[in-house]
Amino acid sequence: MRHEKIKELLPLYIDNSLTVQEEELINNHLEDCNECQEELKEYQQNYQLLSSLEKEKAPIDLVDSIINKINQNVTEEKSYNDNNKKNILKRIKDLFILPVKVPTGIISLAAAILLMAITTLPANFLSDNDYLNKEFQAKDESRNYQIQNYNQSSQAIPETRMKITGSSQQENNELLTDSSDILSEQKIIKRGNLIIEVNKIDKVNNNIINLIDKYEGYLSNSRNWINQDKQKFYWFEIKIPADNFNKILGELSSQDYGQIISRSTSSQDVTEEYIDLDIRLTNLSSQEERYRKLLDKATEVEEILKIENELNRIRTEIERLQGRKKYLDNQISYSTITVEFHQPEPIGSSSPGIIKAIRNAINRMVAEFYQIIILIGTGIPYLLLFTVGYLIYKKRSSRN
Amino acid sequence: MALSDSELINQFNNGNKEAFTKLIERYQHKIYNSTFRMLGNHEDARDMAQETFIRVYKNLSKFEANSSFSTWLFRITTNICRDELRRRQRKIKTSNLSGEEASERNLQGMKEINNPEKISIANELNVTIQELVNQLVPEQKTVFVLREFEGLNYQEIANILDISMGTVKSRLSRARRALREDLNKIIKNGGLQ
Repeated sequence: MRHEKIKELLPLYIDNSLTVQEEELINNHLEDCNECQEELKEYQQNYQLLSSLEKEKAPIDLVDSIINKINQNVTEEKSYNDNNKKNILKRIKDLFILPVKVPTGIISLAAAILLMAITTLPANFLSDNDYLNKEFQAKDESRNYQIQNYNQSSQAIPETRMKITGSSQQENNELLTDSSDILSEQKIIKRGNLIIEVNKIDKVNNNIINLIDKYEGYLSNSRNWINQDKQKFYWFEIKIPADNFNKILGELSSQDYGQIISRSTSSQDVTEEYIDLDIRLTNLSSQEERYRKLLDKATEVEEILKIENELNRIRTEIERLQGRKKYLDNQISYSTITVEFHQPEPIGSSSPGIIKAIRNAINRMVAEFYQIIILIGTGIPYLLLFTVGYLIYKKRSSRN
Repeated sequence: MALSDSELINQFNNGNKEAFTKLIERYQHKIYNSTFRMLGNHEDARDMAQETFIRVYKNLSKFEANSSFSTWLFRITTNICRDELRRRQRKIKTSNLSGEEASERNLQGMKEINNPEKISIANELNVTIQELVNQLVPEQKTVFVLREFEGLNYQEIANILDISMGTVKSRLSRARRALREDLNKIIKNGGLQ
């Protein structure tokens, strides 16, 4: 063991770097061990040989090649870093493109449509509602128009008023004060609206006619229909002398007729318009009078023609205003009440819920389909812009 | 007026690339000598020396002066050489199975040695010794090269390799023992002239 230890230390002895004890150990051992002396000598010789060897000189061009390589490396690293940045971007891009494996054009198209759908849908709904409202208004107007026609054909109603205005036309210039006197009373158009639910709907028709007779009104419009659920509807538009308006409304609202679903009344003050009409009418008729007198004096053909032209214009205007006044008179003297009667909604409706739901779903689906077509149509210019932009971007990036 | 290493490093870190050239010039032979001894041929020695200085260049700004520059430089050198040697060992091991690359490399080595015009007597001696050194395992070889060819003391070697003095001693001892007989044969055959 001792010998082994010495053998291990011996190669290091020549370096003078052993501890004092180790050196002592070896010195003692060397004194009586030839073998180790021999070995030590060999170690010393070997060390001398190795350290005397000429040192290898670096090639002359080493410095230059290192500098070159460093410069190269620097630029490479830069481009590598740039590439890396690009790679990250590219990877992000790939993240969007790869899993779908669909040309980005289609995705962007879909996205654009979706975006537009989201942004425009609420507005669309609104506009739909508007559209419906307009439709309703249009219907109302058409109804009014019917009424007007009816009124104009039935001569009986506005006559009394006409007489009043007719007489007032005869006083000429001072009429401004007069008319205000005459028309100082409020001119108000009253409207009532009722929706009533009744069980025995067939009786309604007779009841209404009786009611109209009782209050000296007339039926201006009526309609009845049956909806999908076999629910019967009766709709009446009644004209009632303004004085009886509240009475008939009260009677209709009483429980005798049925359950009131909704009831609304409105009134429109047309006093101002009425006065305005009157003044304009009187002015026009006095103008007419003057032209008539001029026409009597006129001798030249040209003059006569001109005056007749003017007279013609004034006459038309007067008639137009009188028509409007007549209409207002009618509206004022006869209030309008619309009543809708309908049967209660059938509880166990004829078609089971699920079929109804499916039918509704299909209906809505078809409706939505049209909506989508409209949306795509409206989106086309934006899509074109988008694709052009995308193509430019792609071209530019591929050039880089 | 030669500047010290740390002054040159400071200059380099302040953007003076010339300072780095000076550092290379100062150490290139030492480093080349080491890499040559460790790898055993000029081509690899050159590559490794280059690699070393490139790594130094990249990391010089991170160099902290708590050890000397030469210690740090040698650490990088030995690390690079050790990695290369290990890599090569694996390669030889695997290519021993397929055979081709190893034999090719050997062939190249033979050519280099056998080229008569290139080989002077001193060179021949050098080559023979190098062949012996090549036989050492990388760990022993590193210590051996630093001690015998670079003349560094145990403490310096321990610092460079970041190992204990004891490890340095045992590795060096084993390396010397392994090469003792073969080296002495060269001497006895009149290698020293």
